[in-house]
Formats: sequence, structure tokens, C-alpha cells
Amino acid sequence: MATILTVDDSPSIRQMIKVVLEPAGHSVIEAGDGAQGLAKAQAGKLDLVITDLNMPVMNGLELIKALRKLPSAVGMPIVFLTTESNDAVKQEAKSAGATGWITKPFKPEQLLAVVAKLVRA
Amino acid sequence: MSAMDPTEVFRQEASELFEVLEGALLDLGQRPDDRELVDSAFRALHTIKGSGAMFGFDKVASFTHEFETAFDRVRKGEIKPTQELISVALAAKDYIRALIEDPQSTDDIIGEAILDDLKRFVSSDRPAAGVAEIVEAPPLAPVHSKQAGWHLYLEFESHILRNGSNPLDLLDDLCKLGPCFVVPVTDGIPFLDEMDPEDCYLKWDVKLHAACDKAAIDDVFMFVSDEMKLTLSPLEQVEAPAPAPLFQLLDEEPAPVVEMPTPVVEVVAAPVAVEPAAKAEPKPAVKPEAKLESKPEAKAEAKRDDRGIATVRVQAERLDELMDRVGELVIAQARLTQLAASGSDLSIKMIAEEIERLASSLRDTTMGARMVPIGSLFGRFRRLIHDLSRDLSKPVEFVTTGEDTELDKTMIECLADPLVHLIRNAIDHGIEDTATRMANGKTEQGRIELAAVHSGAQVLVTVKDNGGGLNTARIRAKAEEQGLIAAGAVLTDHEIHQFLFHPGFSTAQTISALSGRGVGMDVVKRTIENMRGSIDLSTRSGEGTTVTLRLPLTLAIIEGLLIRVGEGRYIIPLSAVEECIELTAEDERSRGRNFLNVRGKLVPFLKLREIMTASGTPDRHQKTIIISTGETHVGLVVDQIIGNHQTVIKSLSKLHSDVTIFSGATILGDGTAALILDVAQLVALAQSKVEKQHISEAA
Repeated sequence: MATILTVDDSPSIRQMIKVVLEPAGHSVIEAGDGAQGLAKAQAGKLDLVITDLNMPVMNGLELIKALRKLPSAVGMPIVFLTTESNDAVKQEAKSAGATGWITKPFKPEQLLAVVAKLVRA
Repeated sequence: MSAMDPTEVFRQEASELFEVLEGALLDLGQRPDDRELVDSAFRALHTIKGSGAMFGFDKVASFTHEFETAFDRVRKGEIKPTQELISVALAAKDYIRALIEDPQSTDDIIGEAILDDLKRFVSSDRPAAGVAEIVEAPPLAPVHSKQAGWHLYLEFESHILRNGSNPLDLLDDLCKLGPCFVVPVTDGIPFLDEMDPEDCYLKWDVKLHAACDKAAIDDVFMFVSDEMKLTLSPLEQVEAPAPAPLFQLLDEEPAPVVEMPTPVVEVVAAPVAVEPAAKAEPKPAVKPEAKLESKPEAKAEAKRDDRGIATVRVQAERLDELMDRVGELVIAQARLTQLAASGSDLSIKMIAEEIERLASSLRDTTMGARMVPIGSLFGRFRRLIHDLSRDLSKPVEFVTTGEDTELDKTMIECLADPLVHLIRNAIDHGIEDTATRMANGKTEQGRIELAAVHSGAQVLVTVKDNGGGLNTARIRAKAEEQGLIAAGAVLTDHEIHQFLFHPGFSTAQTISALSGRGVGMDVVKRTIENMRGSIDLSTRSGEGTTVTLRLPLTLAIIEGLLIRVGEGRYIIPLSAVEECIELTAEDERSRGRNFLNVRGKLVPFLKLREIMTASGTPDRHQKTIIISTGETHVGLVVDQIIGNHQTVIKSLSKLHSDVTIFSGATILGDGTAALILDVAQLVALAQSKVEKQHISEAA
């Protein structure tokens, strides 16, 4: 259905996202940090990016800003994962260009609901 | 059109809706789980109710409303439509129909009784009172409460699209909460040269008809709450107690179009919500909505809007008039062509050809406009079969195919009675009773197939049952008893079966209330032949009977073969012509034995010169035209075959009603008249000659 990029330095989070979204019919691409994520985004068309904020090499905020500069990523929804569910972080990420967020820890249903909200068939 | 009484338009619309309703109800009997059918029945009901109220049929509106309410649990899928329920629903339909068509003929008591019945069936597992109320409105329907919904005003920040949020998706999500009426506000849109294509300039005004929590709405906009201005106010009251969103019509949503501040650029809403706007135009009292015919498919209602635009309702007489004019034009054109052909003026010839081309395409178009799918007729028989099958306790499955097959509307009207008779016969005499069927190893349920199919310039309509078949011995015995044939005469089964079409011929041992009245098979045959059609039946003992009606596509203009006999010219309908051969000297010699040898098959022939008592010497080379009605072939010997002729049929005057071998007349290009030969009569005539010969030879 949709091609979704998950960017996280924790393989278990990426795995969890993959395990939840693939049965729902999405194809999931993984990247271990922001730089890898940006490379993957440049390589092909994506329908959604789910990224962590705290990552090595290039963090989530930088990734979001970089993605928003890509012509191919205009209007592409970007969701960030955050543990600090405080408004300051959200505000920062949103003004960087993020579309929505998911607060960790999240349940599979929550992830699916957010994806369904942002990705249309 | 404008002269037409709007009430009349409503009556016409209603009668089409009744067909949809009846069709859906009867289908429900077969497929009680089909939600589509339930929905289609409700859509029809709802339209009847809505329009009824608009045209002053208050009783119809109030009864239909009660009916709808009582039937609501079926719609919600809480109870299955049982046979009893369907019977009551059919009765209710008849009552509503009576209210519309002839209010004097019925009484409120009938309506009350029907509603009581309905409530009793519906509430068999629940007190009746609970049923009549619409307490459990479906989740999508507006709820009867003080607060009936929300009024939202949405204003997004212009960069919202760039950040991956799509306001349209959000509106979609909003629509999932309940029926929404969404109007985009376009006044923020700048001039084109100032516009950034990635910015969002639209604002939306949304009426959400669902008493959901504010939290649910906040949830929809959770990611964008800081990037938008959301003005939220409760909606005071739902405009009308609309029972279900699917049926929302304009008359229940007071002119939502008026609220639109600006033209609609994008409306995003559930289909329900858009509907009132879409319905707004074709809905005024004198709406030009129409089709030439009704299509009884269950989905017909769903397509209403498109058809309303694509079709125009025309009075039947106007089409008849148009056909007459086209007929005259074709005749005039034939004269012109003849005149042009006899002269040498090339330009006149060219014009004549052009007019010929135009006239023939005009003829085809006009005939096409008169064509009606036979399905509208088939639909009527479902009720007949339902009732007959119940009255005779013979369960019958009714299958129709080829409903799309088109026939001239006059033909459709003429076909109704013969088909009713044939179907009655099929159930009453054809299908055996359950015990006999079981004993013969057949399925308990009988089967009647009604099919229509195009075959060349003809349409074949067949009524087929899987009953016991015709009892040839009994027909023969009866024919002998009535002196129609000599005892011991050698006849094929097919010939014996033809006696069924003899006036006054009936083998029914007891005359039942069903088959004993109305038209007989001879009348069926005559009606079909009057339409220049033919009727034929075939049967297999123990397997059933098939009656085949062959009908011309139209009654008004036919392709004919123009022939000459002596001085007179005649038309043979081309559809009956099988082939034309020369009458050989050898055939000519076999005087007294009126048979031709056509590729080893003996075909009786008639000399039209003798029948027409033509004067003068016959042409040296006589031609034979082989005509047929179904199985039977007959040769007609003529002087000359002139060629094809577009035959505009004019009926003969009443003075000539006893003339049997002609079915009508036409006017030829030179202004003279030509008579149209009645093929069925000629075939019968030839056969009776053959029989006489048999008898005289036997003697």
C-alpha cells in the first residue's frame, strides 16, 4: 500500500514498526540514523517517514528540516517518535516541518491509527 | 412538458418506484441477506415519501413514514425479511399505490391493518412500542436530542500542506464521525499571480450532524491543533427527523445550497452530505427528470441522478406522432428517389441520395427512441408468479434473462396480456404439484424462465417451464373429439400441438380460477400475429414446455420485400423471407401437387396469382419466395421480385377487417398502394390445403 521509512537507532523499535505495519500491507524501509534516512528518502518516493528524534550522526530534527528541503518530500507526512511528551519538543519538531507525532511507548493500534490518519490509499 | 401536471409527473415517478420497490421486495424473498436490496427498497420508499409530501399526498407521506419506521429493524439488519414480512410489505406497497393512484378506492382502515400486521411481525421478539420509535438511530444518523451536532469553522495555516497534513484527509476523518455538510470558504484565495501553489488558502465551514464528544473532534485535529483556527459551536437542532443518512433528500435539508457563500470549489464530505446539493437542481416540482422507461434493477434508484440529466420524459403520443411523420417522410423520400432515378439531373440524384441517407438514419433514431427494455415488462410478472405460486402451493423459481433486450414500446404493451396467459398456463398446467415432482425425481421447486433475445431483426421471447410437458395423446384425443382431425390421421407431435391454438380448444380437465378466465391460447396467438409475430411451442414429456414468441422489433416500419403478382404489388415482411428461388419447369409441371423440392425437402407452395385472381399472362419465369414461421416453410409463387422496400405500415380500415391474408398496406414511391401479406395466415392457408389434399388422397 504505502512505502514507509522508519528511522531509528534502535533496531527493536524499527522491528516493532515493521512487524506492525507490514501485515497492514505497507512496505517498510529501515534506516539507522538521520543521514541514512535522508539517503533513503532521496533514493525513492516515500509515503511516510517515521523518525526518532535522538539519533547519532544526524538527529531527527535535522532530518526533518533536511527532508522538507527535498522537492520530492513536499507534502510528505513526517511523524516523529518522542519520549518527552512535552510541548516544547513537539513545538520544535512541528516548526521544523513534522506533521505529527507518536509518544513512546506506543501500542500497535496507536501506530496504525496515526499511519491511517496520514496515509491514504 | 410544461403543460404536464406536476402531480402527474409524481405519479409516473412513483409508479416506477413501485416497480423498484416490488422488485426489491420479491428479490428479498429469494435473497433475504442482500443488504443492497433492503437499501434499494428503502430508497424507493423514501423517495415516495419525500415527493409525496411535496405534491400534497400527505396520507402517502404519513403512511410511508410509519411503514418505514416499522420496517426499520429490517433495514438495520436486526431481523430478517421473512416471507410474511414481505407479503405485508407488498400489501403496504399496494396500499400506497392506491393512495396515489385512486385515493377513493381505499380506506385508512386498510392502512392501519397493514401497519398493525407489520408491527406484529417486526416485534415478534420485542414489544411493539419499541419498534415504532427510532430510539436506536444508526450511528451515522442524526440523533434526536437537544444537541444534534456541531458547527465547525476550519482555518488552517497556509503552510499546512507543506508539512504533510492534508486538510481533505482531516475532513474525511471528520465525516467518519457522522454525516457532514461541508462548504469550502474560498474568499481567502488570492489572485493567481500572488498564489503559492503549495499554500492552503481554503477555509471550511462544516455542519457535523452527530452528537459526538468534543474530544472526538479534537482527536481529528490533534496534529494540527496549533496550526489552525477551529471555531466550534453546537448545532441547535437537526432540521428534520431524518431517519437515515442514505435517504437524505433536499426536502428534509432545507435548501443547503443557499447557505453556500461562494461557489463550491471542493466539497469533501461523505457521499451522503454531498447529496442534497446534487439533488437540488433536478428536484423542483416540474422537474424535467425522466426516462422513457423504468429499469427495475435494484440499483436503478442509485443511478437516478445521472439518468435524470441524461433522459427526458416524453409523452407516448408525441413519439407516435413523430413516428408518423417519419413514416410520411420515408414515403416522400421514396418518391423523390424514384423521380431522381428516372431523370438525368445529377444534382437532384445527389440530393435524393443525401435525403435517403438522412431519412433512414432519422427513421432508425426515431425507432430507437421508442425502444424500451423488456425488463420493465418482466418485472410485472414477478408479482404474478409470487401470488400464483402461493395460491396454487407450487413453489416456483422465476428466472429472467435478457431484460435489456429492447422492443418498441407499443409491442411491450401488447405483449403483457399474452405473457400473463402463458405464465399462468406454465404454472397452472405446466408445473406439476410438489408431490408429482418429488415422485418423478425432480426438485420440489418448479422453474419458470422468461427470456428475451435478439435474433436478426426479430426478438425472441420465450416462456419455459420445467414441468411435465404437453400431453400429446390427450390433445390428439380432444382434437379428434372436436372433429378437427380424422381419427387415425398421421400427424407429427408438432402438428398436434398446434391444436392448442384452436379457438375453444382446452384440454384442462377442470377449469381453474386462474387459467379458465381471460384470454385463451387462440387469443394469444392472434395477438402475437397481429404484431406480425409468430408463436411456436416445443415440449419434452417430463421435462417441460417452451413457448417461443418471435416478434418484429417495431410495429411502425419494417423491411419488406416488394413483389409483383399480375398488376398488383405486394410486400412480404423481410423477416419472414428465407430465400428466393426460381420455379423450375419441373415444379411447374407437377400441377395439383403443390409441393416444391427445396434441397430434398418438400415445401408446399401457393400460387399468389391464383389467390389474387390476377388477370393477364403470367411472367415466363415465375419466382418462388420461401417464407417461414418458425418451423414451417411455405413457398409463394410470384411474377416478379422487385426488391427491398422500407415499408411504413398503414393499417387497413375497419371495412377490411375480415381480409385475412393482408396485415396492412403501405404507400410506394410512385404514390400507389401495396398490400402487406400476412405471413402467418398464408402459412396456415398452405397447410390447410396440404391437409385437404391428404384427406382427399386418403379418400
